[in-house]
Amino acid sequence: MFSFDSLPVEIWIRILCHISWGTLLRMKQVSKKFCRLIETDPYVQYATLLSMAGYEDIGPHPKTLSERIGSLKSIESSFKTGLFPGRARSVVNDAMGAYDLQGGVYVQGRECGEDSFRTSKVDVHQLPSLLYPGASWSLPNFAIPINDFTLNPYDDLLVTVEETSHGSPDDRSIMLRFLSLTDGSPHCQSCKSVLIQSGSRGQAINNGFFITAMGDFVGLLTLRWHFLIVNWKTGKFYAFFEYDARDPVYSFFFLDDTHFVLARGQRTPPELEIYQFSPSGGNGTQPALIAVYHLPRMAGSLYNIVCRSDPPPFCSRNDPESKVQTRFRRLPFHPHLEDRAIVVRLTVIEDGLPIGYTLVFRASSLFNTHDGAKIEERGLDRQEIPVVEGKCWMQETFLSRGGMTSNYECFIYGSRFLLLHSTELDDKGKLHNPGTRSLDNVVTIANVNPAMVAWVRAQLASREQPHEWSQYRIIESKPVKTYPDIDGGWIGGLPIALTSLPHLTQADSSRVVAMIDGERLLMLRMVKGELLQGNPTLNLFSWKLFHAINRESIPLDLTPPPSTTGTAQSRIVKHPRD
Amino acid sequence: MSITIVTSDNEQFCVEKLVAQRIALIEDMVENAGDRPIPLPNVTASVLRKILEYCEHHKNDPLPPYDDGSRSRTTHISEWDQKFITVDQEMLFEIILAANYLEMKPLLYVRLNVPRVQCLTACNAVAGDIGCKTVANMIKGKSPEEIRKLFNIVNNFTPEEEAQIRKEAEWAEDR
Repeated sequence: MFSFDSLPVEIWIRILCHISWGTLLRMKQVSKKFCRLIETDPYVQYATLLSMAGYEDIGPHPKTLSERIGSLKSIESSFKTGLFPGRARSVVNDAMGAYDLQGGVYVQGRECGEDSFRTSKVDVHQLPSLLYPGASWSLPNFAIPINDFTLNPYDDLLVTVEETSHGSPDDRSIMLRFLSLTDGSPHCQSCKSVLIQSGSRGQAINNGFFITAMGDFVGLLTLRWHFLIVNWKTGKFYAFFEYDARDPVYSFFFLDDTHFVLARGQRTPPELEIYQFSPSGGNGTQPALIAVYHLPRMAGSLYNIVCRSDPPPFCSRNDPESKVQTRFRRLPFHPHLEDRAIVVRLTVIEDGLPIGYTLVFRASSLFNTHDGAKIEERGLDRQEIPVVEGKCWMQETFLSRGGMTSNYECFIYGSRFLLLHSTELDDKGKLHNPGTRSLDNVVTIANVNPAMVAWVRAQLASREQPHEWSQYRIIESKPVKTYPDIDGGWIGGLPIALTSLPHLTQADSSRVVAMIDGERLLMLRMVKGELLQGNPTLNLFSWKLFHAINRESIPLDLTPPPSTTGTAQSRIVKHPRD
Repeated sequence: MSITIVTSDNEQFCVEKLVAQRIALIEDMVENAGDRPIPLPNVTASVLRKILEYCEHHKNDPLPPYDDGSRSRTTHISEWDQKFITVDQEMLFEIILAANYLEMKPLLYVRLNVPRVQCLTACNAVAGDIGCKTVANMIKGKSPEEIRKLFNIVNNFTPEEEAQIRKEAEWAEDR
């Protein structure tokens, strides 16, 4: 007589590795054998920890299984408590606005001369990590000052944007260069550079760029002027949209290595367009519009939309064999593509004042096929495209009025993202309007990974005494009767786990930008300068100090968290489902 | 070119080499066996027939990439595979066991000191993986009691122990 119970343990482990975290918890109740297996077997444990972190394994990596488990536990604990194993401070030289943190590498532009929009020099800081010691170096001066850049350390890649005018202000062009992050020379695998002529429409586009590198592709949006995707190795274009004054693109992000999203802010309601491009295509083939998602329609006039979703740091479809050997290494795991958080900030002018709304959802929402989507003829060839109205996907979103992301950029790593809020959450999980209180710079880490949210709920519900999970709260933008000022009563039902790190609060009122990656928080503290309200692309910052809170074993100088925080934050905010 | 396999119930199978190479154990044994038939004392004819059907269908597929199981939480099974694996529980059980046996290369892993995560991959038991996914799908959405019933498992927790674990699982939602 056969019995599944008698299957060899290694087969059960394989079965359990295919099982979602929630089912595993139930599986533990089946018998002592399963309970022991799930709690102690390193493979099941690793799979469980990955699921809770919203990560997946990247494949062969020098780190052993027990080291990977150790890293996941330590990373989780640090992001939960804010007690990072190490903390380093260093001073950043006078700098201009362009800065970025990707995969443990922080790159900061340095100001040059009178033109404070541009930089002729960048400093690279490889932050100390589990995997390598830290180092800093400067890249040599650029021949022409650059306007912006992006980086992908895993490919040793720095992409710079130069805007040049040839004599007359009407004759402008943009040059993208693909450089080595190590020494600033042209990247050995790259097509050297790409020149984009502004054409007859040449106009001052000195107002900023969105640029993102993902795998072999670089996406560039010159604010509302045009949008393109280029393969940085071959120089081939995969998408190219010209500016249309009636239907501008406000923002863009990569969903994965074949999909990108454009935010169309002038439509009513505003829309997210999902496009698919073919990596085997190239010059001449336009990407296909495959779906449209409605954004909430606000009563005020929409001023801006900024979308943020950091590209998956390592896209599994890339060929790992073709990678150049670089000094930059990746963690043994990377964020699960579908659980990544996407944060959309909508700025609306109400009574003459800019008011921010924050919409949060998971990447999976844009991959899903939604029941009830309307089919409309859209796109260049008037194809039948599903249009997902707000009511179809509200339950997958979180919407709040207020400056959850008081900085124009909200840093995201996988399902975690940072809130550096000058606002307070009340008992209903509602965010108060910013601007009425002085900045308190509380750093809050939000997480939309469903496994993590469920775990936090389980922990908060099953224990009475304050415990290590008491730091967490769960909030849902629900069901604040409906925002009277939002058409259609957008009330998202996506729960978010929040943990605030009060001891990272800066006592002084200096501006702080916080960034996050797989291992660390990085805080930039502005000593002088001013954030210009309204136009998010003007970053006339002057950073005097940055400290990286990371995972190197250097002496700690953290003050312990105040003991009172447990009681204040141990509540779960629950809302009746109306 | 073909090779001969003899099952535990003494049935002979004449198998195209390309098909047999999908099975790691047989691939290993072919090298040593020469022209002699390859004995599989742990596999019955009915199970081998099933596994060969799978290998035949997938003989031209690229070998599966690295996969440690924890990566792909999806329990998606392709249409053909789904049909293939729609068998009674006993056959499912036998397929999983046989696939596990046929694909194992334990000595190799010990020698190379490959972590087990990667072993599971390399031996990526073709039919076994679908088998495991199928069992995982059977478990999905079931209560502990239903799982016990399904697999004939005895609950050996005390009521107190069970209550403690249940508390923890209360909020766990399936995805």
